[in-house]
Amino acid sequence: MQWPSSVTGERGGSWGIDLMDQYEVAILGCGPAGLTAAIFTARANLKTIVIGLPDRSQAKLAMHIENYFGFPEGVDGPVLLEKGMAHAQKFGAVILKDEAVAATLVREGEKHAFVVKTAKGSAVHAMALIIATGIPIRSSGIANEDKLVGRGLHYCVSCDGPLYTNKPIAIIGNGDHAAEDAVEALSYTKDITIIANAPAFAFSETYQQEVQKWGIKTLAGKVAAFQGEKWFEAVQMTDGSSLPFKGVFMACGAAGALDFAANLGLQLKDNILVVDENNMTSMEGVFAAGNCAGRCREVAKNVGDGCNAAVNVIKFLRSRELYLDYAKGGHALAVVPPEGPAPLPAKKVRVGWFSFSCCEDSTIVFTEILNDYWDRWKDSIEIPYARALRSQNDMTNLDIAFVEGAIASERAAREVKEIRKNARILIAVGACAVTGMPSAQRNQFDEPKQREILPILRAFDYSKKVQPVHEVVPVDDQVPGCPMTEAGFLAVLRKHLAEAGIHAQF
Amino acid sequence: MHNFDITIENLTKMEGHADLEVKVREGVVEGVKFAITENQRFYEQAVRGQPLTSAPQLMSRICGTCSIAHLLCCIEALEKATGIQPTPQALLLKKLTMYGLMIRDHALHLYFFALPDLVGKDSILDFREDDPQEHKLLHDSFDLKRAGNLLSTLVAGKAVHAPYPTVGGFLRVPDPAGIAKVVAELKRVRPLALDLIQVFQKWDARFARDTEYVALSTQDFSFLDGDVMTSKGVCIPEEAYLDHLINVAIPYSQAAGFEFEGEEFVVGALARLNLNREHLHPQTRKDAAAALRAFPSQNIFHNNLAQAIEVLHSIDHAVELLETTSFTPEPVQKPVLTKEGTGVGVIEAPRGTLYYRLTVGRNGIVKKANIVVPTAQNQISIEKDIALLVQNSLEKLDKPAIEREIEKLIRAYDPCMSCASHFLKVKWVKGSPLGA
Repeated sequence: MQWPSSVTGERGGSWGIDLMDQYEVAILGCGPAGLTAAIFTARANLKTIVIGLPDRSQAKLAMHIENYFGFPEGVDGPVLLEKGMAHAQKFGAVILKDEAVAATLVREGEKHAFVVKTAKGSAVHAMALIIATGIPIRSSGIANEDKLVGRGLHYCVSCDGPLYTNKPIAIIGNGDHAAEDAVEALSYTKDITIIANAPAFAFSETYQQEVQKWGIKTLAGKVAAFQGEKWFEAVQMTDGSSLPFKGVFMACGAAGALDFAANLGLQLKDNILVVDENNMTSMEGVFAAGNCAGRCREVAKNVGDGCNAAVNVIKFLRSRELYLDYAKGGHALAVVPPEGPAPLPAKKVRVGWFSFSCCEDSTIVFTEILNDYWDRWKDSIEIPYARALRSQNDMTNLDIAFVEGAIASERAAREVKEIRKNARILIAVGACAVTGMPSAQRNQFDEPKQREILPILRAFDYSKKVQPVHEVVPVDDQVPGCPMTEAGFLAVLRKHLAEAGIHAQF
Repeated sequence: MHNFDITIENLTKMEGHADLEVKVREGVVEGVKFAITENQRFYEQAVRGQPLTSAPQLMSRICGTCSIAHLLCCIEALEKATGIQPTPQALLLKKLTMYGLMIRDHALHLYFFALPDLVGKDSILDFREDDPQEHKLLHDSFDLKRAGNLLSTLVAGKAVHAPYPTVGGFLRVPDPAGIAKVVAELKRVRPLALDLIQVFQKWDARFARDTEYVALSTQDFSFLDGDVMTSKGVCIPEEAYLDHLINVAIPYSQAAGFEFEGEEFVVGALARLNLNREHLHPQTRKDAAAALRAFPSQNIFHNNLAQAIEVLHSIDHAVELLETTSFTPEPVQKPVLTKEGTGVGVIEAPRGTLYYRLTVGRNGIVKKANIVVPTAQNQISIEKDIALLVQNSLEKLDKPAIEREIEKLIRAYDPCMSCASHFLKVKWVKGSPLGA
């Protein structure tokens, strides 16, 4: 199982995800459509990465969703997204909290693949793409927008419209997005004003007719600010006028999917990606799901879109021999066998254990912890690298690397940098790794002692100073102690497993 | 096949870091370099200037797996340097502390490091759950290690860097409820230790070379006291041990090697069983009688069998001591600091004879430290064994198989690089990279 970058913070970039990490499916967008697609592809054992900023999903901004299947009491958007991410991670999807900024087609002989570049400089290589970037909220630049979000200022009519039943509301935007929101809001109130925040409106003919037909008011002109201290009260226009409303909905639209469309030459209609019944765009191997693929902007529909796109990606990748050897590594077809569903093997968390300059006491504590925990771990955790435990060691694609000991030589520094490159999460264990001491005691030797040890330092490739691990490579977490305590180690392990969606009996 | 080099970086399933290079030219092994690459942490220098009360805990940090051996050996040297005679109860608690260490440490080596070679698996964690024998061995390993851990925790407070043993005695004594629990657990795992002996008794791995064996001859096989004995019949008091050792600089290794009176030699469980097996616990001698017939032995793979027998002995003697002793709290003895004093501590650590010589000033500050660890003593033998093993295998095995055999052989010694790479008052050989 790959480690989600959610636990590596917002880092991504130069070493969080290796340059040109290879995936079978890259899903652009971290909302309900993208995450649903990830659940399906990862569960079908396709190596899956989701690239997106969940905070940008419209679902994140939905205060309360009342019309999603299975939640009669409603569910808050952020909660639904958190659960969705954990769900996708549970099946092994990697979530890279970064923004995909470009996608290009690369041909490799007969095969083709895609390279997705991100805002923080990662490059991800994938055999198929699912674009689920939605219609990201573009900040309007209107004063007080951020301050009043959720306090009378909203982004999703179907989510938060019912709060304003029979009350006057404003919708900000000059395109079809605003018109569509206004029409949708008619279910709750008749008192609707669309404010262009622009000199003029740019509705398509269909929406122009709809707006007129339902008597929705329109007002051209720029908005200067939203007024209200604790709660939104009024829209202040640049001409100085102030228009009171009970609520305001942002519908400025954005061009999220369009950038990818331009890169890849995908067919668009009314600023929406054109897809077939399989959610495939005009380019083979590129699928689209959710708001960027058009139709109604509902979580339920977007979830369905994500599912349809994912199922067709699975079929697409399995039926054609593109790039990867599917027979290897137990890639099972994501089809239901006639005799009934067979559980697909879940990918295990790959843990490495490394040791540098120290007495390896934490290694000993670790081998003692195995006494009581190995039986509970063995179905979820594998330890492909631990010199104390095996001869055939593999440090590639580690989810967690535990590093014990201080860095005392150039060789050790090279090795720990190599580990960092291969590990999503690097955790320093024990006092020497965390603080350098006591292995770093030679740093504090007085002159005579320094002279005494100098020949040895010179003869081998000792570093001038012994360093704790975090001075050589970035460290994501630590388990201090000399040696580390069992409880401290288990707490840190549990924390990172939970972030990977594993809450089993640890 | 007649010209080739073997290079293994980071040998596995042993404690610490070591590399190996073997050079074969015209069908002859020209050179073997067993290089301990563990960076030195300079504890001999670091302990100078430390108060004697904090020295044992500092020296415990030399090695995680045998920290208790360093702790107790350092305490012994400091007690001798400051005129402290341990009380009978303190001595007994030291023995129990050593037994907890031996059970856990040997079990780790036998199950985690050596057993995969025997079973033909890369790692004990790869043992099959659906194979009854492999399943049993994996879970036996957990049970035996845990039992040793429990014993150490009861007597010494912790299995690694134990807090209770100190200069002048123990800070606490075991409580009756804890004793009952540990005794019950030791009795429960005793059959597993017998099974483990059988497993290694049946292993046909063999490599023998004529050499000398050195160990303390303790009267109750408690790893703590007695004179140093050799297989040539030499008997040396603890204090004089270092006089018989010759420090050999190994320029490519971060640890020095040692010769005993000019010859390579072997310390460890094999040496102890070869020299002192009649002092094993009577119950151990009875129940491991068949296995004990393998000794004396020159087969280094019998070091594994010897360790398994020591696990049984540690259980048997610990149970007897715990069941027959009533412990009462007693004050920790104060060091007598009338003049500068030097003390020598020698104990049998899991991997062999461990030597501490410490000088303490009148102010209670450690002035000088000299330490000799087991792996440094075995280092030359390990190299000579590898040379012979490769030479003997050239016609029979291919290179990967030879590499596997070499690792198996080194593993049988149960070397500990963390320990080995500390102790040098090396008289550097002129012309070596370290030569002054």
